[in-house]
Amino acid sequence: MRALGVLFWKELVYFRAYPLNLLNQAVSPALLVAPYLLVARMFGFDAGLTDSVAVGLLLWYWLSTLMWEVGFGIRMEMEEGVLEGLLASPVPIPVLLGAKGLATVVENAYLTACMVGWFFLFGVRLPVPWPAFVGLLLLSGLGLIGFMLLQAGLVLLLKRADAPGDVIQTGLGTLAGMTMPARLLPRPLWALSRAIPLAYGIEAARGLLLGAPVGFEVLLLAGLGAAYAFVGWRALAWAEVRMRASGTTGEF
Amino acid sequence: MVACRGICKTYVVRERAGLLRRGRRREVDALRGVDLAVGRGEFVALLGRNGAGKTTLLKIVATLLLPSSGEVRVAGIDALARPREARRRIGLVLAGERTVYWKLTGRENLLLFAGLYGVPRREARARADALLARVGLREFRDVPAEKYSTGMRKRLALAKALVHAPEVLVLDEPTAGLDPQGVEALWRILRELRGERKLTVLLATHNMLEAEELPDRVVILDEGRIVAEGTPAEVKARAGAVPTAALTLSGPGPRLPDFGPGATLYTQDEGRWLLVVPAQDLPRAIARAQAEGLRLEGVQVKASTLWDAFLKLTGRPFDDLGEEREEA
Repeated sequence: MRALGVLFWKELVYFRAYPLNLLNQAVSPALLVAPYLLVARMFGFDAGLTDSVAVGLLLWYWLSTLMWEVGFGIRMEMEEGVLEGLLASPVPIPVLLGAKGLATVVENAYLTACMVGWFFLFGVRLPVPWPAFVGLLLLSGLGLIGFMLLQAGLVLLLKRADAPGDVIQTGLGTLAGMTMPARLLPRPLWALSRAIPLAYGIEAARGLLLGAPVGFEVLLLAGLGAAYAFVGWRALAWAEVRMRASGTTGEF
Repeated sequence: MVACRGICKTYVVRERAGLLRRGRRREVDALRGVDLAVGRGEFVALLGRNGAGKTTLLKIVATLLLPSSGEVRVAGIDALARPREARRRIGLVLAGERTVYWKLTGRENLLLFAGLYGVPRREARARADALLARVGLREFRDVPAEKYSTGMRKRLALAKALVHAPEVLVLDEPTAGLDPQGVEALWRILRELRGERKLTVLLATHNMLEAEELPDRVVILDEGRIVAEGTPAEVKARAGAVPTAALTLSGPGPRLPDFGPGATLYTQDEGRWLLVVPAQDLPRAIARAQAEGLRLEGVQVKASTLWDAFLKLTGRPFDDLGEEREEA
């Protein structure tokens, strides 16, 4: 816990060191959401569908930031030159990633507030029960742990693993129903989406919007997320051993 | 305190044959069966040319790299089977400047790394302040490391390695790139650590002066093997690096065999010669030169150094000094 605490604090110091990031994070959600919401408005979609798209976007933006900051976060340590110092300490890599995850939750709280503000400006009210929705955001984040660990493993092995990382992120987002409900996907893709924890997170969020019960989706999200977390943890441990054996700990 | 047995490390290197073609897969043996034992409180320097395997060996001891084969024990712990336990006992200073977080201040860096090793918060603060004073950074403790000079960063890296009070300190070329004042400042701290005898130190360097000044024992690595070890004096003696005398002579060509074994003759200008003999043979060499009708223009006696021993043991890259050379 002490290690997690100091690493979390270090992330916040770094966040503060680049204040323009705050501005970027306030403005960029508008650029992301505008096309989807304008298209929805142009084609006269009803408010329910617009809300549904908005919820998907909110959830996806929140989660993709988390995946990016945690899955690729280790690159900062590589480029800073301190990764070897961390690898020589008794702290396991998942703790380092955990600290990045916690810092990203703080960052995401700010991002989400900015995004909701932009939705408001676009006339989207998002009538969701917010406490339950925030709980779902956090749970969906936990459901992605396995994929984040897998991304971090790719970074350890390949260093610049953006391309496979992008494929994982975009693939997950599309299949999970980020911009449209997964049931609208072709049947084979829909079947594939059933294996993605995030799909249940997005469905649960849309369920909250409609006031529908979401217990089953939450259960699947937690169960599948735990299974993927185990697989991701093993993959990361394997990647770390491969990196230490190949002697690329100081490369980036 | 540190025991390595039969350490071998082979790296796989992929050559590049062009933009689209992958090249040959090569195996490079960085370490070939290294046995090394360092006692508690001992200060040992690993000496070797670039690529000799020093850094690889240090990184294996520090559990950063996995050896291809062999055993490593640190403070009695099997470092390969229980690396996390071994890491708690090791402080590591890696080569290069970017080994601390540049956006953090000196003090913040120490508090961060103390936290990673589980040092309680209050104790960490006390240790950080004491170490910053010891390495001469007290005045700059709240300045981000990116504003530090190279020497300050190296001293901060040393403080960082000591903040969790390790039993073993592993240093990889800690003075590389420093000016003489910076080197002296770091040596002063290392000498103090050696004097305290609480810490076992393993230092990699190719700075001969450093290897002669600081350690109790020197281990010379060459092409992944230990080729000599002992005190600096023992290594020099074993390498046959003895004080030499260089005689500048003029006149008819000297007859080299007359000057005894160990004599080397270099041709300089027309009718001028440089004769190098072991210093103990100097009187005999002068007498012999006079007997041959040679004029002695000058004599220079040079003490033996670890530099000479090192070159004798590992070979010199340019052997002929651009001159004709004969050996007796």
